[in-house]
Amino acid sequence: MTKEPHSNAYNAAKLPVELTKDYDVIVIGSGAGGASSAEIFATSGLRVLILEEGPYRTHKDFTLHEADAYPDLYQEVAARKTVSKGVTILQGRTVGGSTTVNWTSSFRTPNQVLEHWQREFGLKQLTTTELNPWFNQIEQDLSVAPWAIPPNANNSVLQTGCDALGYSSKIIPRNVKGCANLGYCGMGCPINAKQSMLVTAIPNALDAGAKIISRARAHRLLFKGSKIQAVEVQALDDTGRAISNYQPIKFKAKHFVLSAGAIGSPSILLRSKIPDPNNLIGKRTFLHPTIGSAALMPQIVDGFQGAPQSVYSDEFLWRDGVQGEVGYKLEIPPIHPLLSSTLMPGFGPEHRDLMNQFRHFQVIIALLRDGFNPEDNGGEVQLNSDGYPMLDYQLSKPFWRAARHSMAAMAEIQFAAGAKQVMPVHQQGSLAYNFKSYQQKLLKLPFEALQLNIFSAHVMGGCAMGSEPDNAVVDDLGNAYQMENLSVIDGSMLPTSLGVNPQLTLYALARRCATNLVKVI
Amino acid sequence: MLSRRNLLKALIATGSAVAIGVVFELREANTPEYIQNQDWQWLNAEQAMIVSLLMLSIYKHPDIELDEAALVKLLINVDKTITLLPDPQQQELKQLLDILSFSLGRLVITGNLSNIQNISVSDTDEILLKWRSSSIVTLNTAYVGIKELLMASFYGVEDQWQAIGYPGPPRFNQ
Repeated sequence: MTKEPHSNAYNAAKLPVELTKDYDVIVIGSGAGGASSAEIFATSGLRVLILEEGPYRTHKDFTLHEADAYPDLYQEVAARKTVSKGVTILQGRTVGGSTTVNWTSSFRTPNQVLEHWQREFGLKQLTTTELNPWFNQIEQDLSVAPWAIPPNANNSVLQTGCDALGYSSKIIPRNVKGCANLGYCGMGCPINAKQSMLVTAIPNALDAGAKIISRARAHRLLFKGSKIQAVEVQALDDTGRAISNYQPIKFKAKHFVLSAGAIGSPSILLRSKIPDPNNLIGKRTFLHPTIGSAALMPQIVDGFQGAPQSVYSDEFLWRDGVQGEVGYKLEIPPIHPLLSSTLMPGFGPEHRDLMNQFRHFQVIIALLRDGFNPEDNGGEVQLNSDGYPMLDYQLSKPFWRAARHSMAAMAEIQFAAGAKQVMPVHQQGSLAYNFKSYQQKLLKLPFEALQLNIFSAHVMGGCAMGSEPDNAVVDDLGNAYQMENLSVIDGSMLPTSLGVNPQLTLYALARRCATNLVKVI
Repeated sequence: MLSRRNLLKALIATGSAVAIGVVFELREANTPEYIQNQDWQWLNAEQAMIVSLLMLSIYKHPDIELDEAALVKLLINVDKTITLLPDPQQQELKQLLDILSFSLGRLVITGNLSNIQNISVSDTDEILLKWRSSSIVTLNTAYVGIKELLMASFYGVEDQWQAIGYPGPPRFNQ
C-alpha cells in the first residue's frame, strides 16, 4: 500500500484506533464546500475530521489519460446518469472533489441570481455587498484572474464568431498559478498550477491539525431528537465498493457538516431518515443541463491543447429576463478522444469518418440556467433499493425550447467564425454546410432525451437555503432547520442553478458559513 | 433503469416470431476458442461473443482491421472497464446483454441463420440502427449504453490515437 500524501491523511480500510476519538466537527466531503469549511475550522483551532469517499490523489498520480482519470477521479466512471439516462453527470470523486478535475472557470454569483433569491426565497442577507469581500479574498487566495495568454484555437472560435455577429464575449477568470497551458485540467493538474482545494484548503487544513480519511463513505447520520450523535462510515475498496466483512465505523462530533455534493448530501439525509416535515430534501435539484455544437474548421484546432476554457459569452444568459425563457451561457469544452468518441453521432464508417477529422473539430457548449422559469423545477434525488442515490431529472418544456434556441445560436457563431461544416451533438446529428441547411436539419431532429446528448458538470440544490423552515432545508448560513448540530455547506444549498460555473459561489458561501459556525461550535 | 417490465416490453417490440420467454442460449460449441479460452473478469463467454459481434458493427471502417488478436485485446479492455462500473450499472449492462442475446438468438431460432457465428455485420447494424431511432426508450438506452462502452474502450487507449492524429497527453507520471 502506498504512503498517504500527508501525515494527517488516512485510508478508511486501515485506520489506527486513536482516530476514532471525538471531534469538534466532522466534515463529510472534501470538495469546494467541505475543504473551504474544514480549512476555517482547523485554522481556528477546532478538532476536525474530513471524510472523503474518493481516493487521495496528488499531482504525482495524474497520468492525464482519460482512461485512468475517469474511473479513478470521477463518480461512476464519469458516466453517472439521471434515472432516465437522459443526462450524463461529470462529478469529481477524489480529495478536492470536483475542484480537482474542473476546468478552472471562476465566476462570481451573478447579481440577478442573488436578487432572485432575495425575492423568491427571502435570502435578504445574500447581497453583492455582503458577498463581495468574500469573493475578493478568495480570488486573492486562489490566484483568480482573467486568462492572460491568448485563448487556444478552440476558444478563439467563440470569440471570433461572437465578434463577427456583434455578440458579447469575454475572457474567463481562472484559478491558476504558473499554468503551463497543457489542456488536461479534467484529468487533474500534474504541476499543481490549478489552485484547487487539493493544493490549497486541504493541505492548509491538514497542516493545522485536521485529519482526513479517504475511501470513507458516510453511510448515515445517527440522531436522537434534534441532535446528530454520530456518523456511520463505510470503508471502500479501490473501485469505490463497500469492503464486505468490514464493520461500519462510527465517529462522534459536536457538529456535523454535510459537503458531499448535491447528490451525495441529500442521499445521506434520506438514508439517515432525518426529519423532513415539508418534504424538501433532495427536491429541486439543478444541473445546468449542457448541450453542444460541433464544427469542422478549415484550420487544425487540437481542442485537447491549451487552457480548456478561456472565452465565454453571456449574450443569451438573460435573454428573456431572469424567469422567462431559459437563458444560457456559452463556453468551450476540451476535446479529448475518449469522451469525444462517445459523442460523435452514429457508429461504423459514419462515426470513424468523423473521428478521422478529430484535429479539426471545434465545440461550443451551452449551459442552460435551470430552476428560474416557474415551469422548470429540476430533479429529485432518490434512493434505490440498496440505498444508492439516483437523480430523477425530468427535462422540462422550457428546457427543450432553450435547447433548440441555443443549438442554433452556437451553429451561427461557428459558421460566422469560418466553420466549414457544423452539426449538433446528437445521436442522429449530421454535418451541414451552411447555417440555412443547418436550420433545416435541426427542425427534423428529434429533441428528446437519449437522442440529444445532454451533460451536466454542475449539480446544485436538494437542500436549499431559504428564510423559512417550511420552504427550505437550511438557512443562509447552512444551518439545518430540523437539526441542532447539522449544517449543509455545498452545492446542495443553492435554491436554483447559478448561470455560471459554481466553484467561486461555493467557496464564498462556505467561508461565510464556516466563519459563522466557528463562533457557535 | 431497465426494469423487468421495460425489458419485457422491449422484447415484445423487437418482434413476435418467437413466444416471449424463449430465450435462446448460445451453445458453447458456437463460441470460438479465442473467446472460450479467455479468463474473463466480468463477462462470460456468451456475453463476450455478443460484444465481439457488436464490435464488428460499431468499429467497422476500411481503416480498421479487426483480427482475432485485436478483438480479444478490445474485449479484455471492455471487460476491465465493466469491472470499474458501479453495481447498478453492471446490473443494467447484464440485462442489456440479455436483450441482445435474445435479439441475436432470435435470428437463429427463426431460421434466418443456422448458427450464431453466421450473424453478419449487417444484421447487427440493423439492430443497432433500429435501437437508435426506436420510439421505445429502453432500446435507445441500450443503443447509447453499448455505443458509449465500446467507443470509450476503443478510443481511450493508445492504439487508435495516431490514426486520428491525437499525439496523446504530455508525459507525466506514466
